[in-house]
Amino acid sequence: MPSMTILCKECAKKKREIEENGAFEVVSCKPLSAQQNVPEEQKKCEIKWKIRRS
Amino acid sequence: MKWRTSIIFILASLTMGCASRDEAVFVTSTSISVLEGDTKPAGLNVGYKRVEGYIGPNNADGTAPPVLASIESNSSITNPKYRQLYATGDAAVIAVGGQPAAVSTGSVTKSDVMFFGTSTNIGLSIGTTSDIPDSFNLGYKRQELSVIPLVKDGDKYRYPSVIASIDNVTETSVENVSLNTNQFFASGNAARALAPELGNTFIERSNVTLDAAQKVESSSILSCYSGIALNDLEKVWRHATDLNLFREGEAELGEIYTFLMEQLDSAVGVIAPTPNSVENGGADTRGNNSPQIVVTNYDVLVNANKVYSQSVNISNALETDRLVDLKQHRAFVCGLSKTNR
Repeated sequence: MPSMTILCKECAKKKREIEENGAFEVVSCKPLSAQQNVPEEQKKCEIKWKIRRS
Repeated sequence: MKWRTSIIFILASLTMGCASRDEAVFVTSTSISVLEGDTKPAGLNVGYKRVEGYIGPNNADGTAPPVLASIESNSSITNPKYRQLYATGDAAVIAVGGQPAAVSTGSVTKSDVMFFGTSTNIGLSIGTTSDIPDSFNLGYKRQELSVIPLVKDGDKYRYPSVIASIDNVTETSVENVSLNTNQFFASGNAARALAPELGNTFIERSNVTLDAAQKVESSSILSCYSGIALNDLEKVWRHATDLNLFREGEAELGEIYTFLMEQLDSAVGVIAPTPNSVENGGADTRGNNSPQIVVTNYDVLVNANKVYSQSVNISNALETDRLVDLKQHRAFVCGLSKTNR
């Protein structure tokens, strides 16, 4: 399943971008572990998506 | 007095400029000028000129003490717009969104003189020595210099924080008074405190730059991709897989390639030479007697192309290596596209 690390604050924006042409469907966007001391703005998430099969 | 700042820089360079074993010199010089001339050394400059340099010891583990210098400019010599950021030590790390390394609890008792200065000229500047003009500048010129003794802390060096910035792009407004040149200059804890704020602008704009650069590459790729022949699609998809442009994990590497190939197989068919070509000794009107690949299901092929193009098109500023991969893929796809013409 394709995935990439992004800033958590961009989850919604990236979801829209990934799903834009209908080829993919975002499955999850979850924070990476061990980020307790990281400021909220800089927290990173892993976004995963899959091919949308018709 | 402009010459005073120049003298400070010259003195600092001469007296402290040669970095000793435990000393770091970090310097930048930027000029966006209609005309700039100097007699020491003799030279004339029109337009944009930038110099950046760092000299100092590295850590025992091979890492370097952190420094950061950034400039964003429209390179216009008549109406220059610029943003500059200069930082060292923890301030540099924080400014790019990193976490400063923890400082050991062992006491370090070493005190020495450090120098940190900036010099900025906007407009006309004439430098003189003994009442004789020997340098002039018309435009924007800025120099940033720090000569900082480093303190050994275990097997690493502690690099004290300094930060300086100037920005005439972002306008700020205070009680209806519009200000268009903002400058900050700080050292120590003040520099650390300023770093997140100044760094956010830096990160935002470097992300925007990297994001835009990836978008430019991907649009070039897709432009060339539209000229790829059906029987070359497999090569393009294989190349993208090898560079992991589909962003698959190790365990599933190749799954998208397999999907695309399945789609291609069900979207195309092979037709034998037509009766006319048989009459012509097996060759068609263009002299081609090999079976032809034709699209039999456009919807499936369109779907495959969507998967490929969207995978290439998704940008991510956090993936700094992706731009190199995209450039490599662009060269491959565009090269293949040209041979098809």
